Amino acid sequence: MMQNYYGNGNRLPILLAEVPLSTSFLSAESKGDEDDEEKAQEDKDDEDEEDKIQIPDLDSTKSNLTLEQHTRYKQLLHDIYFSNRNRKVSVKQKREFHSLRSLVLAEREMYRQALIRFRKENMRRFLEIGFDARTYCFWVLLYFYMMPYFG
Amino acid sequence: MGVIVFLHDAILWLIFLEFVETSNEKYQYTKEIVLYSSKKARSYYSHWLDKSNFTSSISNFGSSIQQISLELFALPHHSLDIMIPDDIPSHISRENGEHLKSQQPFGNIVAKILGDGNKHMRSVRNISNDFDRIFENDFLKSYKSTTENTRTNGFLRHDKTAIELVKKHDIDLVITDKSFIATCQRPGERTRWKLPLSVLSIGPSNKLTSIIEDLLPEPQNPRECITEGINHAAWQHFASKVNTKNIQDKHVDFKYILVVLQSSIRPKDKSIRVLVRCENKRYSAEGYPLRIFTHLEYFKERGDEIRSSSEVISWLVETTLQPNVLVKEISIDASSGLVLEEEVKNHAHILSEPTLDARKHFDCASAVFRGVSLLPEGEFLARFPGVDSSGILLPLSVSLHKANDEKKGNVTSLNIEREFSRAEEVHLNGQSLLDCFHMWNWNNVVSNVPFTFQVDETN
Repeated sequence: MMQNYYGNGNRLPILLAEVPLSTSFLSAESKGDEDDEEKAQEDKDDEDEEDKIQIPDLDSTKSNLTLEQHTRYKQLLHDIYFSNRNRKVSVKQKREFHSLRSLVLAEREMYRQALIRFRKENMRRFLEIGFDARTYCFWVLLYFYMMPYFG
Repeated sequence: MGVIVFLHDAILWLIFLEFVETSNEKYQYTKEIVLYSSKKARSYYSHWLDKSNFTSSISNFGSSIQQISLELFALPHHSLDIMIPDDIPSHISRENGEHLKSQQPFGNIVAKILGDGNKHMRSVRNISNDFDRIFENDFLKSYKSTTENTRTNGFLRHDKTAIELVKKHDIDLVITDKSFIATCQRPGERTRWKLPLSVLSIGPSNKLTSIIEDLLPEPQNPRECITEGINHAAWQHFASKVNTKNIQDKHVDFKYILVVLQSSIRPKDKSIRVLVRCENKRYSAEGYPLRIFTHLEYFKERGDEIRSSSEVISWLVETTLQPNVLVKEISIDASSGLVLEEEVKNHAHILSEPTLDARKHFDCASAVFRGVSLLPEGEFLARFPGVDSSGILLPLSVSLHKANDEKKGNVTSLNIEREFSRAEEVHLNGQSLLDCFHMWNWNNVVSNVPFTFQVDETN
């Protein structure tokens, strides 16, 4: 269905280099200012609270459902909602589907919590790709350094 | 003492210069992209300001005179941080493998997902009579501009072909394709637009007709900025790879499509006759108009991102207005620049999107057009999200602002020139970064139920 035309390492001509991920600007940003320190402390407190609640990590947490349960849920979902309407679904199958569905919904809520945590931790990536944080940092430093000369 | 200070300064300068050199080397292409985006905003700005006869009369707009509520059409998750979509809605069914059948409120659609080997085939569509009531987009009812009338001025209000069609066919509203797509977006998903519009008595028996111009550029978030730049790079890439007919923008074709919009919420209301002007700049080797949408994958190591409903509705509007258009989506790994996938999108892909409710998108556009059609003759600006007369933001409403004449000393709340200078900004605050996130499906996990943790296959 989907074809990968350029999957063998070809890039758009303008994109000749890989982008390194830098964290120097952002980590340096939170230093120095007292307000930022307070915020950082608050964030740290929040994180501690989150740790107490045990919000799962998106990458390392595995599903509570087994492989069979995943497959069965998808099959029942298809049979009940998306297959030919003339085909009858037994009461037993419906009960099985609803019990599986409650498990899936519970896991989705945990997944949502994990996503919120993930977003907080990874939002810097949108700055690191495409926005030259180091040069920005340079101009800010230069501005403050040259200020005395220009009054 | 002076010498020491001088040496100290010189050393600092050297450190700074070396620092810039190394950083420039690493970030060369990304800087080009950001610069391109800001240049584009500037060129857009000059395009508008060059038309002095247009901007001199309508560059300033007063406070809101009317509001159109879009609360009914808002996406259900507009107030939540993260929305986990439910399973595929029941109106879509899969038949015969790749065939998709949809029972939309406005009719039945059958479509097939096609591979690249079948790219000459079009998607199969069975459209019932109900569907025709909403769209009259038959090729026979569309018009192609053949004269120079169209391109004398970039603005729709100066387009002689469009005005002739309005006079002949009792049209309520004229709009460009870009603005039509913008109005079809539902509130709640980073939706924002500003549309300059004129209400003129050009119709038969001096009937008032609204003419909506191209939307004004808006400030961007990092994802939008990089996507726009990479989309430009993708066009350059295709210009060299694909034998396209008019890749250099030398010849622009306009096509006029009559769309009849009927509100599904108020079916007894009179339908709105909308003339949409589609701008075709580039064509595929087979001669089909070409649209390229770029999607950046920021977390490719985890999985494919789910497309937002505004992205999907863009495909739907493009393929519905001009059934022969070739809508290509290129997904690119943002960190490496690798082209991951290139796919032609048709109705089957649109139907298979679990979160899309096309009816509500078109109802949203219909509500905006109804509100605009109540305006008296004059120049206006519609903006979403709206602001009320005291300047408070209305996240689920469109506000309409009347043009002000500065000479009379009216208070101006919106100025086009100021809006253009703001459009060059890229917002880097926390909310803007959070807006960049998309949800994704896990990589290489076929058996996983969507939006759950990865299955432990050893379990």
